[in-house]
Amino acid sequence: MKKIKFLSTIKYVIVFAMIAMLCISCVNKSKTVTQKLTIGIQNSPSNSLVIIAANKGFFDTTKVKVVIKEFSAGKLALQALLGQAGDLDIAVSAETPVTLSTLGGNKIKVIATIVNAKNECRVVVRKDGVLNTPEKYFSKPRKLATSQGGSPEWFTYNFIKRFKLDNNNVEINAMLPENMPIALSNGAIDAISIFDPYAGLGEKELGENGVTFNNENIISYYVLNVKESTITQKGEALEELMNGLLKAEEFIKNNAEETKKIIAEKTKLDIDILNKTWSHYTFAVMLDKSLIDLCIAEANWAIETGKYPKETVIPNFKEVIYPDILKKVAPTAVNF
Amino acid sequence: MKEFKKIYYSVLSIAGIILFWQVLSGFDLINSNLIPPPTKVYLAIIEWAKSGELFIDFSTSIWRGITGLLIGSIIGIMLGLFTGRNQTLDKILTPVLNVFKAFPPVALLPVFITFFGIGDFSKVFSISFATIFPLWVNTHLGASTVPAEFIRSAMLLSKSGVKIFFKIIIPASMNSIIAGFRISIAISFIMLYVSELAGASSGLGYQISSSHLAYRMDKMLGALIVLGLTASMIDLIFNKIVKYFFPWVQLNKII
Amino acid sequence: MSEYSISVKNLSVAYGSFSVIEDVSFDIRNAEFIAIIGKSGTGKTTLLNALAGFIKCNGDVNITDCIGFCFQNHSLFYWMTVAENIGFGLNNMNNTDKKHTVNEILKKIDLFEYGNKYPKELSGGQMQRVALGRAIAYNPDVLLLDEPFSSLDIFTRDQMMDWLIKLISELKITVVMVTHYLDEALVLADRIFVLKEKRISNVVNVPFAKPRTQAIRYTEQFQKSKQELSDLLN
Repeated sequence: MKKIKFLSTIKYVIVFAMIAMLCISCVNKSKTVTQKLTIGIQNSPSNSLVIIAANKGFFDTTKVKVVIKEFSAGKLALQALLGQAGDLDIAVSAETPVTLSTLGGNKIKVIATIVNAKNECRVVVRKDGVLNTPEKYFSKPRKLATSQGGSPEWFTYNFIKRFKLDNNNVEINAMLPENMPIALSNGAIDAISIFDPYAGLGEKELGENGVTFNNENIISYYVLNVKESTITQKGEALEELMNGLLKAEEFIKNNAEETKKIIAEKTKLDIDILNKTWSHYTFAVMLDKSLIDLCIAEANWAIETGKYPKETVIPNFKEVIYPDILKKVAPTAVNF
Repeated sequence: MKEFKKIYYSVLSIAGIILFWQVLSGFDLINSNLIPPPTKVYLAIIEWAKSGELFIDFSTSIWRGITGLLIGSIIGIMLGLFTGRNQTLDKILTPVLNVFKAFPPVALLPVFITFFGIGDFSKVFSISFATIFPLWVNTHLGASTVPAEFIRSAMLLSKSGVKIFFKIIIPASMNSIIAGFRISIAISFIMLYVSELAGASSGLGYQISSSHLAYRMDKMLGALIVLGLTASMIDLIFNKIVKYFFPWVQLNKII
Repeated sequence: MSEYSISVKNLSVAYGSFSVIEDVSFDIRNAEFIAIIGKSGTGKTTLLNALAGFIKCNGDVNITDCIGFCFQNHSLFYWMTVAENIGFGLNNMNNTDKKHTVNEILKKIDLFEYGNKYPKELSGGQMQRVALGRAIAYNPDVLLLDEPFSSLDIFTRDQMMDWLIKLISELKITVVMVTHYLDEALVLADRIFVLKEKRISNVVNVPFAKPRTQAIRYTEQFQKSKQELSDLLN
C-alpha cells in the first residue's frame, strides 16, 4: 500500500516537473521576443538602403520586426519622431532638420548615416535667352521656390553665397516639393532649389526650356535619428536593423540595375530620371566627422539668417552622435 | 458697465489660461520643446517685432485675408440674392454651385497655383473661393425666406422693384447674411494659412510654417497667437460695424 | 367718378383643386366701412388678399390702385425706424414734404415722440398704430385691415377701437376689415358681410347711427344684434 502511494506520488511529481519545464521553456522563448521598430522615411532614392533592405527581407530576423511609414519629406518624419504620440522609433532625414531641431533644444541621437548625396539639390530655372550662368540669370529679380527647414534651404543659401548673388534679386518662396515642378513649368516661379526627384521632374517638365545650376561642393547626409529611450529599450533591435542596412549596402553595390528597378517602382519615379541622378548618391552605413562639421556650419547659417537669435549657443553636435550601435556591428564604418 | 464686465471676464479667462500654461511648463508637465512656456513665446514675439518682420507678415496677411474675404463675400451675397429671389436663376445656378461648394479649397490649391501662380493674386483668389459658399448659402436662405407680408406691404407702398430689392429684401436677409459673413471670416483665416504654405515669402501663415520647420516652437506659437488675435480683432470690428450700420441685427443670437 | 370704391363680380379663389371662395359678388360705396366676419378657415383673409391683388383669382375685381393694407401682425419693417416705416410709401416727394407728412401721421397716431424708435422698442398697440399710419400715409382710397387687433390684449384692443373710430371719421376712406370679433364689426362697420361655406351668406346693415362710441356695446339692441350675427354664423 505504501509502495503504491509512493509510486503514485512520483508519477504526479514527474508530470508536474514536465509541465513546469514546458512553461519555463515557453517563458524563455518569449524572452527572445521580436521587437518592433517603426521607421519613418521619405519615399525617395535617398532612402534606397531602407527600401532595398525591406524589399529583400534583410530586416526579417527573429529579433526585429521593421515597419516602414512614409512621409513626403524626411523633416516630417523627424517631427513625428519628436512628437508625443510615439508613432516612430526611427526617422530618416537629412542632417539640416537635425541641426535645426537640436538648436531648438530637442534631444535626438544620430546612430548612422545611410547615404551621402552630392548634387542631390540643384537649382532648375526657366531658360531666359543667354542668361545661362547663375550670375547672369540672377542679375534680375527672380522668384525661387525652395523647401524650408531642410537641406534645400541650406543649399540655396550656399548657392547664393558661392555665386555672390544679390539677395534682392532672389525672392525665396517656401513651397511644398510636390508643387514645385508644375509651378516651375507654368511660370508661377522662375526657379526651384530642391532635391530629387522633384529637381529631376522639374528638368523633365521644362526640357529644353530649362537650365540646371549645380553646386557640387554641397553634400547632404541622410541620417538615422532615434530617441535616447529607444537606444536603451530597443538596442538589440537597432543592431539588427543596422545589420539589415549593411546587407542592403552590399546588395546595392553589386546589383545597381536591379536596385534602380526596385526604387523606380517604389518611388514611382521615372527610370530615366533615376539613371541620370544615380551617380549623385553614395549608399553607405557609416559615421564620419564631416557630419559634425556640417551641422556646425548649418547652425551658424541658422543664426546668421535669423532663424535663431544671435545669442544662441551652438550645441555640441558630438553629443548628438551615438556611434556605439554601429561600432558593435561594423567598427570600421565609424570614422571619428 | 456691461461692456466693462465683458472685457473683465475675457481678460480674466485669458490670464487664467496663460497662468495654467505657465504652471504646467514650470512643473515640466508638458514638453517645453514642443510647447514652450508663455514667457518664451512672449520673448519670441518681441524678437519677431524687433526684427521688423512682424509688421511685414501681419500687414501682408491682413491685406490678403481682407481682400479675399471682401471679394468672396460680394460674390457670395450677390449669388445668394439671385438664387434666393429668382426661381430660374436658382434652377440654373444652384446645382452648379453645390458641386463647387463640395470641393475642398485646400485640395484645389495646386490647381490655383497652376493657373494663377504663387503670387498674391493666387492667394486672394483661393481665399475668395473659400469664402463665397458660406455667404451664398446663408444669403440664399435669408433672401428666400423673407416673409411674404414684407414683400406684399412693400409692393403696395412702392412700385419700384429696385427700391424693394435694396430696401426690403436685402435688409430682411441681413441676419442670415451676417451669420454667413462671420463663418466666412473664420474660413478666410484658415485659407490664408493654407495658401501661404503653397509658396510665400511673408505672412502670418508663412511665419507659422517656417518657424515650425526651424523648430522654433516659441515663434510658431507666437505667430499662431498673433493670427488668432487678428481673427478675433476682425470679428470684433465687424460686430461693431454691424451694430452701427444695422442696429436691428440680433448679433447675440448669431454665434 | 363712381360711387363704388370696390366692385366684385363672381370672385372665386382656389388653391389647386381646393376651392376657398366661390362666386362672391358685392359693391362697396366710397367711404363705407365693411366688416367681413366668419369662422376660422372660411376664407376671410383670402378674400382680403384677393382684393389687394396678392393672390390670383377668377372673376372681376374693380378696385383702386391706391390701397393701404394693415396685416394681422403689423409687419413693420424692423430694420427701419417708425418714421422710416411711415415714410416708405411716400414716393415722388421731396425730403421736406416727406418729413412734414411723416410728422403729421405721427401726430395722428399719437406717436410723435417715437419717430426715431425701432419697432422692437414699441408695445403691440403702438406697433399696430404705426402699421396703420404707414398704410394711410400716402392717402389711399381704400384701406384693407386683416384682423388688426387680434394680437392685442382686450384692454389695448378697446383703446385701439376708440382710436380707429376717431381716425376713420377724420379720413373718410373706404375700409374693409376682416375680424372674428362681432363687437368690433358692430361698433365700426356700416355693413357686415357674413362669410360662410365659401360664400357671402348674409349682408347685414348695422343699425346704429354714427358717430358711435364703445358705450353702445352695453345697450340691449347691441346685444340683440350681436346674438343675431352669432346665429347667422352658426
